[in-house]
Amino acid sequence: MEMQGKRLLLAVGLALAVMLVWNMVFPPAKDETKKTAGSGSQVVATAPATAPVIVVTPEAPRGTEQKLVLEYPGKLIATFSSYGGALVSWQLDSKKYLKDDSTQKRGELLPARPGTGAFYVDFTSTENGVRKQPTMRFPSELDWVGTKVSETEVRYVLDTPVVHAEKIFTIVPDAYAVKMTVTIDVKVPANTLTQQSLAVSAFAYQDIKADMDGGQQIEARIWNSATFRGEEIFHTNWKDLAKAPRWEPDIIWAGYEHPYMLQAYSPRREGVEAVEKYSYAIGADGVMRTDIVFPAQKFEPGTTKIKEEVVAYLGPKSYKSLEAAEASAEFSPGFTATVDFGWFGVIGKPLLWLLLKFYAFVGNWGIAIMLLTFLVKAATMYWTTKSMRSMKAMAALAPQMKVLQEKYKEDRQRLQAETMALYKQHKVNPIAGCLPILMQMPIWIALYRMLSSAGELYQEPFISGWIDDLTTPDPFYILPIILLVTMFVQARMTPVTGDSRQQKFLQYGMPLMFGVMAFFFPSGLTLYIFTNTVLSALHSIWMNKYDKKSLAMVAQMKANAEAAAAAAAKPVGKGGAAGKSGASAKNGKPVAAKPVIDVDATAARDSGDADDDDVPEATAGGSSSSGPPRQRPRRKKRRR
Amino acid sequence: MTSIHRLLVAIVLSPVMFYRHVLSPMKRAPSCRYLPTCSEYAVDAVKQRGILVGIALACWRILRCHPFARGGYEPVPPSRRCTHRAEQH
Repeated sequence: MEMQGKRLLLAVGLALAVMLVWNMVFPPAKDETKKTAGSGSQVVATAPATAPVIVVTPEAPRGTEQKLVLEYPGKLIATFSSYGGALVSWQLDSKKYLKDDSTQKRGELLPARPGTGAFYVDFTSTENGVRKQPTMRFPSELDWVGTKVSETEVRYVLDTPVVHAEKIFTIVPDAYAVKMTVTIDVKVPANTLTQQSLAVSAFAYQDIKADMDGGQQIEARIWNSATFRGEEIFHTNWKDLAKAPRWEPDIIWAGYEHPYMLQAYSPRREGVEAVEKYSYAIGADGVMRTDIVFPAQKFEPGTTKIKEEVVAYLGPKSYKSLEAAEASAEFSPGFTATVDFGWFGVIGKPLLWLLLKFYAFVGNWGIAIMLLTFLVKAATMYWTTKSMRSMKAMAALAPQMKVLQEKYKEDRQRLQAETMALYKQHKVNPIAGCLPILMQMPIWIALYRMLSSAGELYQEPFISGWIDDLTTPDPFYILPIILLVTMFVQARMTPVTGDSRQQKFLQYGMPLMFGVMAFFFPSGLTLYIFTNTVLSALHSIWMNKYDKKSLAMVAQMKANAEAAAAAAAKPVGKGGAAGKSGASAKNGKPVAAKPVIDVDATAARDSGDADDDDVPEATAGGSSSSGPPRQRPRRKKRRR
Repeated sequence: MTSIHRLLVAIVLSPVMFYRHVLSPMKRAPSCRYLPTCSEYAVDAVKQRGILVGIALACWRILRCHPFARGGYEPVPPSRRCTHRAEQH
């Protein structure tokens, strides 16, 4: 019973730890259907009202749609419409975005469809987060008059007896950014209007039939509605949004996110009251709508002027252009928050910077990844060489260790002291220590995160025809299979230090684990693991053949081991230990003294407490007699 | 140890267990300059000295386990109270 309880605890503990690490590597999807105050508010779309509503009516019957198209070759094509004076299409003009259906209608972040688009303005009325029927409306059928001011600027004007409105759009094509400034002069008597909030809306499409929960890939390639509120990005998919609209206060930006794309609208004004999001279906299309609702404004008698600014980023999640977009705005719209490097951004960002430099140099992301791996490997080469040497030495000492383990199997502390003495005698010691190894881990985790979330790699080929997109798994499974084979080979080359069970895991388990995972990893990541394995293997080969230091060391260890084995055959045993303490006089004292005083004092307590509390092996130790001798070495090698 | 305490200890030690069973085998070579190794030390420390002192001791030990440290045999230091009890046995 007792043992079972412990095992249960261990299982729970391990599960927690796995979750912890998993969350570090893959941060939670943040798929939260949190409904803040007033989320229950029903969306009053265009329902007729009982209150007097001033509808800004068109002067003349609706004219034909006038479109203004701005083209920036290699970057994007933006289309504005006189209907509503809005941005109705935004197409990324790059071959790579034309390949993927999930970005919808081939690279069109904003697909041109009647009645949808971005930067529509309207009035809304809210009270304590509950949306009310507005007393003034801007129907989207209104005809705005558009003029192309310059290559990057478009102006739309609406002039009616009730309002005079103006929208100025400024496009920063290199940053995939567009800024809209809207100015509205209200020319109505104050008593007809109370408090009104300006709302700027933006639409997005998501195929309803798409798999919203993931599927084979780590992240489903769908558009989710997203809101950035300063710390976290909150996501809701089309389905959940259709069930209940969301009302979110204090936003920095609101819009839509795809694993590698972003449509974000950020109001310049701080403390923008809320964003209202909802979705509905038009045929097979899921439409999502986001309204950025500015704080309510009291309309003074006479003319009231409203001026608001919204900056949008509509493009790939590549750090450089996100930063450029942030720089082009005169405030901080927080677009870069969309690139999530996880906990280790401090390391991830420089790594990405390096990767970009390599890419600028070679012009192929796959080769850039290989170069980056090479660099990281070279940077840690000094330590890996040293640790490989000490690994070899340990392997050579293994027979002596076995003797010690047999001798002190009942006394863990004594065994440890003796082991240390043995290491000292042969001048081997794990060279690095725990800290450098623990410090290295963030590098790998950061690299992993960076490779699996960088929009730069999206739809980028390594070798076209084979791997056309480094963010999807290898379509022919060639890389994972080669990886599996190289990992097997590499595992065989490393010196044997552990006991047989652990060795088996290293030789078969690890390559198999990684190999299988590689079938699902983005191929950019697999390419990195593969390069790393090949480099490690080459390093081992070089060490085995040419590293004089380790060759000499191993030869000497072997000779020592044989001598020791011969000595151990005669029952002198302790003499060896005494000799060791004598040899290293400085260190000899604590080594020799501690076991005598400390060990005996604590051993009783220890064997009763720490030892049998030591979870998995303890069970075996109790029941079978062959357990203890094996359990000790295993433990020793595993816990570092 | 009460069962709640056991659970707390298991939770506190779960990262160590994960490290030992999953991460440590990946690096293929023993890396600790001390004996008991840092992870053994952490387990012993938490069990012998309680959760708070144990964590502090374990962190301090990991920080000391670097290439410029001498390393060597260094078990968890017994607290005064504990030593006392042990001597009575």
